[in-house]
Amino acid sequence: MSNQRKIEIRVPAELGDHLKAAARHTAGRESVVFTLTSHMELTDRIVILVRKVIPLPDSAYLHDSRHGAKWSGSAMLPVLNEAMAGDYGVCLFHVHQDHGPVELSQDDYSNGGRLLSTFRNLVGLRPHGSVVFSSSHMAGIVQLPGSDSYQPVKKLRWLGKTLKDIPSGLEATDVNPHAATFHRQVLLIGSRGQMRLQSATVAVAGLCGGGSHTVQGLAHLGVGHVIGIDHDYAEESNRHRMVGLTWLDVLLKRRKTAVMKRLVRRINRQVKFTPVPYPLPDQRAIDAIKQADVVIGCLDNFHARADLQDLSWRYLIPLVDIGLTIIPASLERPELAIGGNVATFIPGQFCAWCAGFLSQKKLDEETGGRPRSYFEGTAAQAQVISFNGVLANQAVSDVLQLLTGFAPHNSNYSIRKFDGVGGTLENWRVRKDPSCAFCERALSAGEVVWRKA
Amino acid sequence: MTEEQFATACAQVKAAFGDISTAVGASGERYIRAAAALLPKGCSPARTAVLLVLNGARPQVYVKPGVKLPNGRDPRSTSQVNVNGEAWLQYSYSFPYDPNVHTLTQFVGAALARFKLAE
Repeated sequence: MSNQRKIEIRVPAELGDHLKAAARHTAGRESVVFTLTSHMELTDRIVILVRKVIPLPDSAYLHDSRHGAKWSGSAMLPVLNEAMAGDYGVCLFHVHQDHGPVELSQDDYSNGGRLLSTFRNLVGLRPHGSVVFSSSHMAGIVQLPGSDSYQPVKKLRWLGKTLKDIPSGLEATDVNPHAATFHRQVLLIGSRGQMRLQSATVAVAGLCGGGSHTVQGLAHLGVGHVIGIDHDYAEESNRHRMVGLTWLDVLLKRRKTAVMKRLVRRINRQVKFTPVPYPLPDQRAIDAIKQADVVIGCLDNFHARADLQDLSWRYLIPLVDIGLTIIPASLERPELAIGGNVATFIPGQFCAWCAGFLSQKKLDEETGGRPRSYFEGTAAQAQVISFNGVLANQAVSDVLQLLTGFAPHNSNYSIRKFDGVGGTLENWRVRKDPSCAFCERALSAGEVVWRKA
Repeated sequence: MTEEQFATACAQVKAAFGDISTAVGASGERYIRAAAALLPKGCSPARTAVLLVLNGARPQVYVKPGVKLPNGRDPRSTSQVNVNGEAWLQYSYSFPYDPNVHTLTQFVGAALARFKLAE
């Protein structure tokens, strides 16, 4: 592992609330919260993913006025046992004050540092860390596998309806983005929101009717980096709904990713577009998604949706999924139906399995109950650009909410159901299923730790 | 599978297929990864990483995508799947397996032998 990469910590929704409440619980001393973590390694970052929060009970603390908090070593045994059993890292969190800059104290460095070395001796293949935070700032150190030194944590991300990034005290949080282009947008989201968009990476999987719309919207918003994932080539049958597609693209059999790259370049040359012309779950597509802050799924089959859902939960990347079904009137079914949804799945909240969007039955129906190798693609269904556009633009608005929090009081976790005949988008409240086996298995699972045998 | 049975299985797989790594999944399932197992003669590449998932009565075997058969063609009835955030090639094979009779090495060998077939 290189020591040059930045360190980021992500905490899923709900678990983050639990962690904050436990860390702010004071009884004449600081409270320390242990977390079990996994991680993923990217080319420029190492991301630590909080999987479980374990506060110390009040009875574990020992009175000692020389320390903000002191606790008995035996109180850590259950944490350490669970870390060793599951190959998890351990990261300690505590609070120094409610708001404003914070720093690790000398005590945090000396005693925390000793603890990290202990954790490393027990689980040597995961990073371990110690973090102090307030509502606006954080500071932390991490010991990486194979390293005796500590590296500073650059960013703490709380997942929720909005991704709240708390940078370390040394990092600038506000600059003036190119004002003229986004002046009227900045009136809503502020210059900090615009800067947030500019520094964000959004991946879009599936680049036809829905996906091309979302790429266009993201480029207009000024999202700094858009990753487009689709292995298909442009076809004549795509021309009626794929934004930016020309007859010449079809004639030349251009890749859809190439068409999107050109579209983005024409809208805003400041937006970087990375084409990924491979299908999910090709490793190159997976690696691209891992780079993203948010991923938008514009896919037409449940197997690929299940892959996106897995990656979203495993690496704590919010997923915005859109789907459209048009059932024309027929002799068997005289009533026309145009239905769809825009679902924002925030890791830690309800998932597509909790919501019933994914089920083993649906996956089996795609393959006739056989392995995935028997999946031959979905049959051609009715598609109309205007309906794709409604869903795609709402998905872009959901990304705007995630990145900028432009509607701070929009706290409902919901799915938007689309009725194309009535022309409505309606919020459907969905609750997390506490017994969801997928959430239990996949949330913050991170990369697998391999041991040489 | 007990720890002792798992250790025995690992030793067998290592002896037959070379360097291996092991991992435990979030649901307690066990994984064995052979870094470079030998494929049937004529396949390209000659060696590939193999993933063995031990989670239930019948193990599952995956190889890295990109394997070509001795006749130069892609194997049929295959698809890429996501296993713990990593792409692997799922492929069909059919043979009887009884863990009380057959070893894990025999199972993996039989699964890899599927790539001998000129489809």
